[in-house]
Parts: sequence; C-alpha cells; structure tokens
Amino acid sequence: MERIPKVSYISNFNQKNMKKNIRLYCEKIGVYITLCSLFLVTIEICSRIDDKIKYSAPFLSNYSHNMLTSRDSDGVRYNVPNARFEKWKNNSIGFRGNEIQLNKKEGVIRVACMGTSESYGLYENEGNEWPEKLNQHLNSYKNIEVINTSVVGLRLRMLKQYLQNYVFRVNPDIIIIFINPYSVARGFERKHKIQANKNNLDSNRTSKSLPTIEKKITLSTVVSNARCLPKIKQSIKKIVPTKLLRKYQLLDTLKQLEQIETERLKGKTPLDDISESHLVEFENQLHEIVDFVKMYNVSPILCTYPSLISKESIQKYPEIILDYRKFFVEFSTIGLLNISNRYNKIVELYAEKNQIEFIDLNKILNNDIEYFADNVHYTNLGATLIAETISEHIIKKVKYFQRT
Amino acid sequence: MIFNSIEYFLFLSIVLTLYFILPTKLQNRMLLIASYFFYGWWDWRFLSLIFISTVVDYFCGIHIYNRSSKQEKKKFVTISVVVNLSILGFFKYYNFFSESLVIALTTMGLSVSFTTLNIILPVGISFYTFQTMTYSIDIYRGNTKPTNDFLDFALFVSFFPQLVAGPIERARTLLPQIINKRLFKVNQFIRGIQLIFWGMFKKVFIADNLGVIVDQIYSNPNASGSEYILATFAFAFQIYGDFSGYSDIARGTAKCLGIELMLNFKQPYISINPSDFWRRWHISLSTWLKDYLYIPLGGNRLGTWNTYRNLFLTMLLGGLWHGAAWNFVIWGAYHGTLLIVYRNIYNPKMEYPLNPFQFLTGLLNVFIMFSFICIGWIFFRAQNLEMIGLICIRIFAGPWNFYDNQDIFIKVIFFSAVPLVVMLYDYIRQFNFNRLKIDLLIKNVVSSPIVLPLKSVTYGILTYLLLLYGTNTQSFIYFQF
Repeated sequence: MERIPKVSYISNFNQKNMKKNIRLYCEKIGVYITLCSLFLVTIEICSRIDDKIKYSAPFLSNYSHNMLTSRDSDGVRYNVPNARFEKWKNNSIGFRGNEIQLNKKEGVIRVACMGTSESYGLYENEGNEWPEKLNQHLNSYKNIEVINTSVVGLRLRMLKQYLQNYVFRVNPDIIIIFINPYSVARGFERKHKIQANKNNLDSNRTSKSLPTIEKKITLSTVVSNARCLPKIKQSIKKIVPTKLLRKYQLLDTLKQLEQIETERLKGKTPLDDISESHLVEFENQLHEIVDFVKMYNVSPILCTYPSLISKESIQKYPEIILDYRKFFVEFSTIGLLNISNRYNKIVELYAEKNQIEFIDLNKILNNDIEYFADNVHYTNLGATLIAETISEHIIKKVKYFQRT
Repeated sequence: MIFNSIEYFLFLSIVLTLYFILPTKLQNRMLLIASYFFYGWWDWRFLSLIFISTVVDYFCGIHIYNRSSKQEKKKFVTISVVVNLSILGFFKYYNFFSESLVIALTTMGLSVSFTTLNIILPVGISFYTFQTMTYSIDIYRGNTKPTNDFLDFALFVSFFPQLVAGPIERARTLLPQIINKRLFKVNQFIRGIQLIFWGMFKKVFIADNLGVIVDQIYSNPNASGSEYILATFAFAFQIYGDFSGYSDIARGTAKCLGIELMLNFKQPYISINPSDFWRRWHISLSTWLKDYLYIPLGGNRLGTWNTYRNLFLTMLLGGLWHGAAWNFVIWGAYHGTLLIVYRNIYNPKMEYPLNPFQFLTGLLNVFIMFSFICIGWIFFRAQNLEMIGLICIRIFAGPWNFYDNQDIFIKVIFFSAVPLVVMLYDYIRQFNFNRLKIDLLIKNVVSSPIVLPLKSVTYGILTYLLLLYGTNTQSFIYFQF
C-alpha cells in the first residue's frame, strides 16, 4: 500500500487554513468598514434632516452662507431677498430682519444701519444683532423704524452704488455708517498690486490664458460639503476646556497662516503700516459717501469701527488676532493695529471737521473680550452695548428733527 | 471629575491603556492609585476620610473573623458601623439636626442656639460608607471571608467607577473580582463601551435637556398646574436618565476593566406596584436597606404592625439617606406609606401579568403606579416644604392650561421618547411569547444579518442627538447625596 506523504499533506492543509483565515479576516474588516461608513452616513443624513426641519434647507443640494448674497449686473454685492441660511434670514426686500414696506408711512423716521458682517450679525443669537437690538430699544418710539441694510463682504468702493440701488429706495432719514478699515486697507493693497502686475504684463505681453480647472469629486470635496462636520466641530468646542481649545486654535492658526503667507506673500514681509496715500484715498472716499448720503437728504452718523485688537489683546488673545490675520495676511499684527487706529482717527477727525454726528464705538467697547466673539464680530453683550449707545444718539437726533 | 467631561475620558483612556499593559499583580495597584486620584480630584482633603473608613473596616473585618466569641465579634462590627455612621452623620446631618432641633425647641418656647458649622459634604460619602459596612457585617454574618491584602481591600472601598454615586456593591460580589485574576474578553469590553455610550446619552441628552425645563418651572412660584404636571413628568425622566445614566457609565467602565457591577435600574417606570418599583429603582440601595435594616429590624416576621413599622422606618431612613432635608424625609415616608397601603389592599403575591390578554390591565397598573411615583418626585425635587404645598395645590386644583404649554409638552415628550420606547419594549418582553409563537420570530429577527446595520444606524442617530442636542449643563443629581 502506498504511504501518503505526510509532510505535503500537512503543508497543503496549513495553506488551506491560512487562506481561509485570511479570507475571514478580510471579510471581518470589510464588515467593520461597511458598518463605520453606515454610521457616518447616518450622521450626515441626520444633519440634513435637522437642517430641513429647522431651516427648510434643501436636503440634497449644497447649502451654505453664499446663498444669502449675490452680485448684480454692476458687480455690487447685495442680499438675496427671502434667502435663508441657518439662523440668518433676509426679508422680501433683501434686508435682515422683519418685513417692512418699501414706502415709509407718514411721520415715521427710518434709520438704516449700514455695515458689513459685523452689523449683519454673524455670531449673535437670532434677533440679537445690534440693529435688531436698536430696534427693540427704540420700540417705545412708535415713529422710529430701524432697518438692517448691512451686507456681508460689501466693499467700500461699492458702497455708493449699493446705497443708491438698494438702501435709498426705503427712504431712510438717518444712516449709521460702519466702515471696516481692514477690508478697505486690503482693498487698497490689492488694487496697488493689480496695478503693478498690470504694468508688468503690459510690458511683457503674452497671449496665454488661464487654464480652466475642472472640479473633480474627491474625498476632500465630499468631506468639505458634509453638513455634519461643522456642527460636530462646534459641539466638540463646547466640551473641550477653554485653555486646551485656545492652545489648539493658536497652533492650528499659526500653521494655516504660514501656509497662506507662503502662497500669497511669496517671500515678502507683511506690512506693519499703511501708506499715507491710502489714508488720503480713504478720506476722499469717505467724503464722497457722506456727500452722496447728504444729497439724498439722509442724515449720516459716522462710527469708529470697534475691534478687539489692542497692544494688550495681542498678548492676551493671540489665537483670535492671528485667526483674523488669515484674511488680511498682507498686514502683520502691528499692521492691523495701526490700520484700526489710523482709520478710526480719520473718521473721527473727518466727522469733527465736517460737523457730522460721530460715535466713538471703538472707545466704548474698549477692546474688551466680553464684547467680541472674534476681532470684529460681537457677542450678544457687545451688540447690546452698541445698540444702547446708538439709541441715545438716535433719540437726540429724532427730537431735533421734531423741533426743526 | 464628572463622567461627562473630557477630563474623565482622558483619565479613563490612560487607566485602560495602563491596565492592559501592566501584569495582573500591578493592575490592582494601578487601579487603587487611579481611584484615589479620581476621588482626590474632587477634593484631596477628603481622601483622609475614605482612608480612615478603609483602615477601620479592614482591621475590624480581620478581628471579626478571627474572634471566636460572638460578643467579641459584635464588638468589632459595632465599631465598624459606629465609625462609618459617625463620619456620615457628622458630615451630612450635623447642620440639619442642629437647625431642626433649634426650630423645634424655639417653637416650644425655649430659646436655644447651636453652632452651625460650615461643613462641606464629601462627594460619595453616603455610598462608600454603606459599602464598607457591608464588608464587616457580611463577615459577622459568615457570608464572606476577610481579605489579608489591605491594598485590595482599599481598592474595594475606593473603586472609582462606583465610588461617588454607586451602585453600592457587596463585599461578597466585588471583592472576589478584585482579588482573583481577570481575563480580558472582547465581548465584555465592547459591551462596556456600549454601556458608557448609552449612559452618556441618557445623562447628556435626556436628563440635562429635561433638567432645563424642570429648573425653569420648579423655580417659578407662578407656574400653572399644567406646567407643574409637565415638569414633574419631566423630572421623573430627568432623574431616571441622570442616575441610571451614571450607573451605566459606572458599569460600563467596570466592564472594560473586567469587573461586573450590579444592575442598579431595571426599567423602574413599568412597575405595577410599590414593591415592584423598589425591586427596579436604585436596586443596590433598596437591597442594602432590606438586608441591613429591614431584616435586622425583624422584616415581616414579627406580625403585621411590626412589619408596617419596619417598612415605614426603612423607607424613612432611606429618604433621609438621600439628603439632609425634610422633603427627603417626607419622600421616604410617602413611599413607606405606599408600601404599607399596598400590603393592605393588594395581594402581595400578585405576579407580573404573563398573559398578553391582561395587557390592558397591566398597562393601567403601570400608569397608576407611575402617577404615584411622580407624586413622590414632587417631594424629592421641590426646594422646600412651602413649594411642595404650592405645587401640590396647583397640580390638583389647577389652573390647568395644557393648550398654552404645547411647546413644553412637545419638548418633554421628545426628550422622554427614547426611555419611554425602551421601557415599553421591556414591558412587552415580560409577556410569555411562547404561547403566541412570537418568541421564535423574535429569535429569527435578533439573529438576522440586518441587526448589525440597524445597530450602526441607531448608534449614528443617537450619536448625532448626543453631540448636537446634549446640553452638559447639569451636574449629576445623585452627587449631592
């Protein structure tokens, strides 16, 4: 009888066992990956259902704050009427707040609040943005109506056109003007750069056009469109102790800043100050706007732009100041501080010289962290203080109107 | 550090990592250090109290076991009980009794004053003193043997998952698990993680959200009857979510370490009578009171009136255990009264309805018992005796305007929905499904491949609710005891 070769039989048996085990492990891993994916997809679906119920958000299509604004044919940014994103809602005329009639009732004094995201109301709870708070303060005065005409991201050079196309149709009597100096300074810097590049291009003309970039669906685009991620991030921020969170934020911001500086500055150092010519240009633009407003018989109130930045806050809250610097990387931290001081001084001197009603809100908020959610946006407390301060001026002005 | 905090999760991660790295002998030492660190995080000064209790009971236990005469054994068990109750009595009840005595004597026309001390109540004192007493008493009764390893015994007293709010463990169940080698079981570890998650959900999503509503209404003396009714219903689920959530986190943590703690809550709101309720609510305390108070007093062996007395006293002291305030005493007396009335009116041997056709009757019993439990919660939750009176009057005499309180009603139902569904499911499970042949159907469903994906989806939904709607603003209610 032939003997079965034991060794080869055993090695065959071990090989089969090994293959079976590998297959089993692969199946298990596959099952766990599927279950984890199902778990994550469920969270995303819950997030979308939540948005649908709370904000009537679309379930499948993209949903972001970009839905709130658009640009018209002149390139002027405006609020899309009836647009809604989370707690932010525009009325049918395209302003944040309650519905109003285009035509003003007789005897009513309308106050327009003209600013950008800080006045539109970014961090405050719904109904707590300062124009709405101002409206509540002046509620007892039945003949005063406050309208939040602010637009997120509106540039100074577009302000005149925006006022003409959108604000003056509601016939305001008083307009409170907030001008974001950082945005203005950045605008001047970029304009200067574009001009310089254009000069270079004219002398070295090429006919190359920019290649079109096709948007590919990658994992990062899917993740960036996920609605659950920002919500989960916010929830985790509530749990993590503040000290730890601040340390992490600082490290993360420094990393991002380094990247942005490398991309945008290309080896150049950020500016510590703004040029005199830009300051002069700003004053001219301010003068144009005030004259324009007066031309429509609207009484302007100029305000300094409150911000958290100061010599003390740069040391105390570096993560907040540096985070804001990401959007104005052309300027150093000292540069941002100088922008705030110098532009606010111009507004103050201009108002004094031309006898325009003036409120030094930056002094009143005093760079106090209690009033700021970041460098320029306010907490509920900050919005309340601004509203209280402005309401005193409005009441005086209205009484003056009534006397005259 | 509280269980629903980032500090606890960091602490637990470190403890678990060290636990799985270290050899068996060092695991207990590491757990002891971790437990003392955990307790010291609250207030390091009170470590001395827990150490005193540990030392006294360790040596008493050895002496009780080694002495041959019953009298001498009794001497040491008395030392153990007196020391533990003295610590508890001084820190928890000194101010209460001295103030109450002053009020009582003043009412009788006697002018007296006692010094009121600014005593801080050490966290968990009611729990660990009761737990250490079980050691010496069980040795005295011959139910367990003492351990010669002081450090293992110290771990039994201070085991961090259940140190500050229970379950109150018995020496004969927990100590062997500490002393003997523990084997790592993957299923046990996973079940532990699931319990921690479920406990967090009950605490952060259910209890804390309901707590906001309860606090708002119970602190408003002008609330309507319907608001108080809704708030009381909400408190029933708040305290359940809070306490059972904590117990689940404690049990889950212990499971991850290979230790089984006792079940402390067993769907208490599907109780059909007061006895059933105390077999389901804070089981570790109710069994402790039964074994170490009710039975030594005589239990139900000394005649009807003595049984009533023993029941009433046990529940009264059980109420007092919860807090040094008259509303807890009233709450305890109320439950004592319910137990006495139940013994009188109903057949104590009435079994849980097994026949699904008795479903409606059973459901009615559940509803009635739940209403009585909620009335008890009024005494438990109200700030003082005046508020108890006010709330009871408003609830029973009105005004009621449920129509105006629709949003509160919806919120309360939304946050109570999950435990309600789980309890209803558990209630249905009590029935004997074999007769209806549903048992087989349930077995098929449970073993089908759809279960795992369904679990993933369920955990996804619960995680979303926990992260987005968990408030994390309220402390654990039972920490104050």
